[in-house]
Amino acid sequence: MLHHPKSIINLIRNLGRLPGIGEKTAERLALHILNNPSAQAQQLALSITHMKESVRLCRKCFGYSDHELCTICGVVSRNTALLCVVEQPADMTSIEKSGGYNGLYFILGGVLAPMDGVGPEHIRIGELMKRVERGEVKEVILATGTHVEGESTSAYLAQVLRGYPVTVSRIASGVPVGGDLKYVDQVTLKKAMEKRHAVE
Amino acid sequence: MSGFSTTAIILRRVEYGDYDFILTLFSRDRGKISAIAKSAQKSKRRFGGILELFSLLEIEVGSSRSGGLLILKEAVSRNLFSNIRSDIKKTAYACYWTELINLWLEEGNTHPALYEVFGYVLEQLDRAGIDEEPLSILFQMRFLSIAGLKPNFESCANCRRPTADIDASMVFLSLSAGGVICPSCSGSRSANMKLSKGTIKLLQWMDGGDITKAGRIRFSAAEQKESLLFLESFIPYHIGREPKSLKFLKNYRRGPL
Ligand SMILES: [Zn+2]
Ligand SMILES: [Zn+2]
Repeated sequence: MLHHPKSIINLIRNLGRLPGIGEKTAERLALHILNNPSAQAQQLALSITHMKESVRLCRKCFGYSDHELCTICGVVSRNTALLCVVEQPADMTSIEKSGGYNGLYFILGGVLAPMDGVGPEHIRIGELMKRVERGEVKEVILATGTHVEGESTSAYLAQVLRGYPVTVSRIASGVPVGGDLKYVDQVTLKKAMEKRHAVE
Repeated sequence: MSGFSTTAIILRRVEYGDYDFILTLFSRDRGKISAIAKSAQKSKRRFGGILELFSLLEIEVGSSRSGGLLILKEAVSRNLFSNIRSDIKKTAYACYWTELINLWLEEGNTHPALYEVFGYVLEQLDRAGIDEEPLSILFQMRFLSIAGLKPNFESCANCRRPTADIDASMVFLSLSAGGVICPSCSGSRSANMKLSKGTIKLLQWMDGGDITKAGRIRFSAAEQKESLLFLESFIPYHIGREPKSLKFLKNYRRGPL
């Protein structure tokens, strides 16, 4: 890498700081940018700074947004009676991609983690209560992870939501679609068995 | 250290890079160990979602070629204690005990007695309808004994006067002196805690003999409260740190939010 001029090395170093990008890939990307028209490079640089300037948190769900309301909270056709609580924006994206949900979201910003000193005051539990207090939500779907912290956070939320006139549900765990049972892990299989449903 | 098999309880799980976990385990045969679980973040197939906090596992580990971190080769669950995680209070207690063990244990020493106690309280905590507080008193008393930090309940830490001879139902204790301080010495020492003689008796019973019998000892609300207050002050003072989960637990007791 050292045989490159300083300006190229500089870009390689900066690209190399990105997750999952090693020095080789960074070098390839840098040379690719160099060998393409200036307009493209300018666009890339601009889109990065523009994103940093314009993205903020949605006032309602705390997801990423260019405006006060995000592209989900701002849509009138969504079912405002359903509120799905997730840990991070990426979880919301996953559920959106599934196409199986038409309600709204709420991003907690983490999970309770006693050993890491993360308590209720460190995630958006107060904000969630305020959101539910406004009265529009009829069902809260708890979609935190299925690890110990995710499960116990969901149990905690169910507890604090008990005082509100809302139904509280937890996303189901089960056998992945298209899979062979012999490859499904023990815990999932056990849960799937416990939560089996009648076939109509 | 070459490869070996043992039962072990997960004390800590940390993501390592995009694929692996680094686990801290309390093993029955080797004490505290750290091992890397390769690809465990992405592929649930290999370890089957059992590499969770407090999971009791049958594990097989091998040493890496460079001789550094141990590698988790296989893991089978013995008990995942899944009722603990579906209850925030149970989770908070389990986290406190786990963190205590992790703070106090050093790698390389076995502690079969502590392993036994830890497994017992987790198993009990996992049951429905069990009270968490007496279990925590039991765990903390046994932990102190095993760690060699047992409070001196028998006599005044200053003048050796037997506690039985102190003519009062409430007895003063000093954290720094490690136990009881009689009324005539209480001026010279920082006697900053109080316990009733009845509570002291209960705590002593908790500490000795068969653990299943000790687990059945009943506390009144007042005895339970002063026991927890004492132990949760005594332990952090003597291990020199306040576990983060203890802070969480204390906040939780004040009521959600
Ligand atoms: Zn939004
Ligand atoms: Zn004395």
